[in-house]
Amino acid sequence: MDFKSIEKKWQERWEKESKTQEPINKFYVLEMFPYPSGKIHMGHVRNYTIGDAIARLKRMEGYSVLHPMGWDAFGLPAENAAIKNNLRPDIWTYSNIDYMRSQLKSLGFSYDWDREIATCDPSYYKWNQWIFLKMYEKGVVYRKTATVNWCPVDETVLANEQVIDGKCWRCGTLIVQKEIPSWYIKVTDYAERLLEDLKLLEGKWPQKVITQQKNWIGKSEGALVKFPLERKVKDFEYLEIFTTRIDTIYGVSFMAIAPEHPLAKELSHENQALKAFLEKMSHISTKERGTTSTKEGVFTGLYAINPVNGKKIPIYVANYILMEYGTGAIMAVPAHDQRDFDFAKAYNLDIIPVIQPQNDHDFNEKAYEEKGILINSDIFNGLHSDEAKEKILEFLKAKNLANKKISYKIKDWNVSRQRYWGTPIPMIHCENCGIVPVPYEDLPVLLPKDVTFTGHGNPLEHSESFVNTTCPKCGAKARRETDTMDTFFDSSWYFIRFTDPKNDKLPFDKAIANKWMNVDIYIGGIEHAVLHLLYSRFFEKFLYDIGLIDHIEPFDKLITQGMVLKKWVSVGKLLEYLRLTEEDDIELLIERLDKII
Amino acid sequence: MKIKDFLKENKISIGDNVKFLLEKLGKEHLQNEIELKLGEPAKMSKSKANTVDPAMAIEKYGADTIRLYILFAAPPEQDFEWIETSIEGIHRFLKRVYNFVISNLSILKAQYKEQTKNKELYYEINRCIQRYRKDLEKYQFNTMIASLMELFNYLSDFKPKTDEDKYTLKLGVLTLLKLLYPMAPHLASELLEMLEYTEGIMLPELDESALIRDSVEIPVQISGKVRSVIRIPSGADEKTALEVAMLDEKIKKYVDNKEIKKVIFVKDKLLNIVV
Repeated sequence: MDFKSIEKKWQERWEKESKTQEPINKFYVLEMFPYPSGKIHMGHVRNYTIGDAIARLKRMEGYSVLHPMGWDAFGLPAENAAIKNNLRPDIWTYSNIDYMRSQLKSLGFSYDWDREIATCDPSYYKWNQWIFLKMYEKGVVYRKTATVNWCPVDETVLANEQVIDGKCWRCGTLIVQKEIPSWYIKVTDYAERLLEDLKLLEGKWPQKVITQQKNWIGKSEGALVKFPLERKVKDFEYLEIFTTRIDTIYGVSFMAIAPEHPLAKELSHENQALKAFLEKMSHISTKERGTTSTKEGVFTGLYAINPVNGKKIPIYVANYILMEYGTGAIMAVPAHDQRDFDFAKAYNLDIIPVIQPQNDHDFNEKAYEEKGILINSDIFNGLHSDEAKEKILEFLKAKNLANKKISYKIKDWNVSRQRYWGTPIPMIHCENCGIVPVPYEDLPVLLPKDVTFTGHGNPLEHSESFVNTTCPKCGAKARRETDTMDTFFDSSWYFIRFTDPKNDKLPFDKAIANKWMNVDIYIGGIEHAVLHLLYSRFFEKFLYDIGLIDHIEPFDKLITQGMVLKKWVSVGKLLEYLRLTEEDDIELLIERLDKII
Repeated sequence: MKIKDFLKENKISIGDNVKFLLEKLGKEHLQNEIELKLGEPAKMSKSKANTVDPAMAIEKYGADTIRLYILFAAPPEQDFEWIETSIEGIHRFLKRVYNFVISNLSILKAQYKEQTKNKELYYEINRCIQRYRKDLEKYQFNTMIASLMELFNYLSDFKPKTDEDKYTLKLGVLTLLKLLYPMAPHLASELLEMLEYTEGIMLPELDESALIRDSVEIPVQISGKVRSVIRIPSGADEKTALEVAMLDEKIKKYVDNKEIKKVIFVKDKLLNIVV
């Protein structure tokens, strides 16, 4: 059996025959498109083998099958390669694409190569810019200050994965947290719909993915409560907190605020210890802070008043409080919240039980987080948590100190990247007019080619041909926005582009897209359970809202394929097996190795 | 020299794959043995140096083997461990299919008039189609492929004597190749072409009647009155008889929306449903 010549013969034949038919009795099979890293790995092969078997089966069942392939081609590795090897990112990317395409062809995957997309192609990213402008028009895009990892030596923003042990991956300098203006997408406006529509996916998506999305959206019903300050600090009269457990308010023994909280900054002027703590925190990414198990903090010297009983409560700045969640401040109830408990233990603060535990519980051991009957809570004693929540809220609401609040964990999406190899954000900064969107007829805003990659700053800032422009409104000299888009933007709608990949008037034709969408089966790794799959759902809803498509969910069925594993043995494991340590002689190792068989 | 210094000199760390150490010691041949003894499966990654390069695997075994192996190793959602000897097994299977077709080319290429089939083999062909189609709903390729392997065993053990046998064998081989096509498309296409099969490759239809072997007809009563006659495999149990009866339109009409109080079943003779 000469499989090589057999496979070559059929691959050539299929390439000629691979046209997609009209979308009548259609079936759309899609595998998550790859990043053109250089060559395909076994995970890709598994992903695409599953997809191709399904595509061929559906054709055998008489369906008109759409089975396309493309490249998620913008991103950091191309830029890193450019810095390292002085190779242009586009050249690096397209040569990787060529090689990987030939690899995919050698596996006999039945893609319609006429529909191939590379997101770094201006004919694609033009429509990223077009959609971005639509979002700006609808108020879904806005500008806000973001805290980023900053390397003071390379003068560049670092992605989380470029920060290793708090240091710059290139030069080893301690990173600092820096605030820079950034472009945000208001995903939070869609939180309720993203949550609600998960019901449409029940039974079709793996339950694990649905649960992860639910948790990511993180809806919680709670209350905003104002704790009056014992003295006015500048304009601050109250400390406002968000809590889902107002029923435990009698158990508050301290308040905790985020290091970025404006009150913390204000108080640090008069408090050296606090100032030092804030400085220390500025070197730690919020991501790291959110996951650390060590609770750390410092007393601000200021007290708040518990609005239910008038008790004086000390205010701490704590590492585990993040500014992005709620109001960046909490009422801490060590008896009934484990994180507060850990902090209270570390700083010797009171633990006041206000919920009667169901079973034997030692409040010196850990927090009791269940709901239950209230104790030590004055007029609310004897009520169940659920009832107490309403009663206490009412009580404080009458005093204008509390309000019901639905809160989501999901945050708005910072799409700004201070990098070259991405879609330029189509905005112009004019001294007279402020921020002016690039007119639709001027799209695409092309990436310049006169760029050098030094690893210092954002290369776009140094490209005169790119930066210098004129204001579309007043005609005065103006500067182009140099941020590029997060690559997740590119991959949030490519599946619709595949239905009409050559359209040069619109991202896609509505009638054509309506016929092919939804994707009937989408196949990819579980690691995309939240970001990519959530952003794609958000895009579909936005495109629906602006009348570009009639569907509200993009992927009908989802298969998250498992991993490909292989046995391996580490040096350490072998030494352990041979009962050797690193201190033993190498000759002894050789001797024992020879006896291993 | 201490092991520590040897590692340092060769820029190997304690967490690296042992193969780098074995290379430096000129003991590469021990790697398989050590992996068998001590190996733990982990996700393929550069840092663990336990990746398999697809390009090399394709070069060695061909795309069809790699595809079929990946689909056979586990259902899509589950992790699986890459095992070289299992790939070789799949490769041998495809070779056997190829050799079987080649060595029976004259029987398989001949034209036969539509005629009665060899019951036993035709039963196996349809049982394979039935299982394949059922597993297909959940994309359980591993069990779909297992059914194909089983069918191939029947086909390759089959000794055709009459034209009826040969006709059935041809039908079986065409079915096998069509069902193999989504996973190993090159080889399946090549062999179908060799057999001068020119109709499009469609999913084979199931012939339910073929699944009934040595069947008997029994009357079905509803509360004692004969309402229909059904065909069931001889020796079938009550459960099977009841299932077949429920597919009968006439019986369905009497039973739908009614409570079944009692079922009386006399093997190969009678079914009485009391409602």
